[in-house]
Amino acid sequence: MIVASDALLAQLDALGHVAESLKLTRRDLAESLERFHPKESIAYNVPFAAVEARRLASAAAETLLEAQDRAEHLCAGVRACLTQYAQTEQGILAFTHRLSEGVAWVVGAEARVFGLPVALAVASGLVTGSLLVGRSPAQIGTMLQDALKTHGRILTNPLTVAAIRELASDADGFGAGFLFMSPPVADALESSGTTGVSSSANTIVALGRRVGLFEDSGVNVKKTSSFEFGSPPTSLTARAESFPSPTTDPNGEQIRIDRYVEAGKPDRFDVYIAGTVTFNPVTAGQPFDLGSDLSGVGQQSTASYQAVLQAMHQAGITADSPVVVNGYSQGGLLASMVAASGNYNVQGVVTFGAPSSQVHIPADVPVLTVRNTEDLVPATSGYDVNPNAVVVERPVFAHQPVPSDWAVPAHRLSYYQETATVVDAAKSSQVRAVLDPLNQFGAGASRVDSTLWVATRVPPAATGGPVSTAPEAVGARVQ
Amino acid sequence: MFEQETASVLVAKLRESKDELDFVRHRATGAAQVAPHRDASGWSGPAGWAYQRSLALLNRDLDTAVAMLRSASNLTSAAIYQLGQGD
Repeated sequence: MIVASDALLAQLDALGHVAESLKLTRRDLAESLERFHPKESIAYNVPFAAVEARRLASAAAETLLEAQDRAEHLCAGVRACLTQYAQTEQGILAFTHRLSEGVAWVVGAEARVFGLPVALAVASGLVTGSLLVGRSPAQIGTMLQDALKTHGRILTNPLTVAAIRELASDADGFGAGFLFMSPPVADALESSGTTGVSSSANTIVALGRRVGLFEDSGVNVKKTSSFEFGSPPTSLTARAESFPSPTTDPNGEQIRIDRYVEAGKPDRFDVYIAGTVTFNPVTAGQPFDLGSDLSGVGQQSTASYQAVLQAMHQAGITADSPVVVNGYSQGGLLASMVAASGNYNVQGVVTFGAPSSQVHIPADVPVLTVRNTEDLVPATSGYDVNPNAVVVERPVFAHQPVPSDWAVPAHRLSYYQETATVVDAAKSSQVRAVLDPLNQFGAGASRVDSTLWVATRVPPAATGGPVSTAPEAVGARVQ
Repeated sequence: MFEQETASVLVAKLRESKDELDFVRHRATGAAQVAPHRDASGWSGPAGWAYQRSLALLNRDLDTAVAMLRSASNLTSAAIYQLGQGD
């Protein structure tokens, strides 16, 4: 694994190219010098200029050799530095995680022992404080929200993002402490993948369901419109601009599917999945809600995931259809889950600001993960588990003020569209290796049929459910 | 007779040599154009200095080699001209 800026990676590519080019140049020059020896081959009064030319050419060959050596060593040296940096960073993160996991364990155990008195003390403190300042706890909450918006750098901050990523990863440590589980057992369970961010999310959902939140349901999808879009996307920006907008579109479609038709070839598909529509923890009609977010991070089959599968099935996507799955926010999580299922012929996964770090995607599926550095949403899913994914990050507000109209502005799709434009200009081979095939995915299509789909929750018994929509039902894919 | 024949062979060989030198110079020039000039590492301190210094030396070597190849080509042209077969 390598962690570096696109510019530096592009320079490494260039240095490698220079070294290779110089190798060929030197070989050609050596052959030329071998063929022509003015002094030895001709019994004639050779002009001095020809002799001097040969001397200079020989000197040039030596200089080219030095340059080649320099380019090779520089390339190898920088690459070794970057690898070492990545390994060191991983080591530090692992150490920090173990440390904070231990702290979380202690906090969890103490919460078990002192939980009720502490909770009562905090609650009484809040009530007393609110009485003193003459505001209700709800008003204080609103004031807090406003303060976070006004002082945008508090939430929109890489350090906050790092802290949230660590907290998300430590939640299972808190749970282990709360259950008085011995630390070695807790470590073993985490290492085996039994516990972690996913189990923490599932715990929250389970606790919520006890008080009527995050209720499960069935789901139905309905095609609301179809149109011929024009041409397939040839850039990441075009992909970022293709997501449906359920909060502003009248029908509230969350899913869009583009079919690329080309004579003599199987139809190819681009699936675009929108993000979370509502953060209300009480389940209503919207499947793209907080409950689906949490259940998705817990790698459960959520209503929104079932909606995507249903829409894909109804759009004619089979287990063999080449498909690229694109997702923004929760949509990115769902896109990753589609790829992870192994039930589709996924040619690529593109996510923007998705809490999908914990979804294991097969190594042969190209993954492009786009994140704004100050966006805390992806951090809620902890550390990445896919070593093969190309993760592109861009600090959005490094050189501009943080807007105060959103609590988490770095998560806005418009900023991800800006980031996509920057990624389109990337020169490094790592990014191009993923992006170029994506840009060619729909090439040659004679027609593009786009369809929009709206998903709504229904009582569990009323849904067609995953059984009728899963790809296995329409033909298993031979791996 | 012998001298004229030998001179024409030499000129042919010099022309061939010049074409090869020009081809090699063209390729070396291409490498020099591709080679990074400015440090994009974002490193500060000795690491950034060392990287920038190495890039500078690489570019210096490439420029020198290209200049030498150009001079060699020019001298070869002069030799051809001197032999009375100037192009």
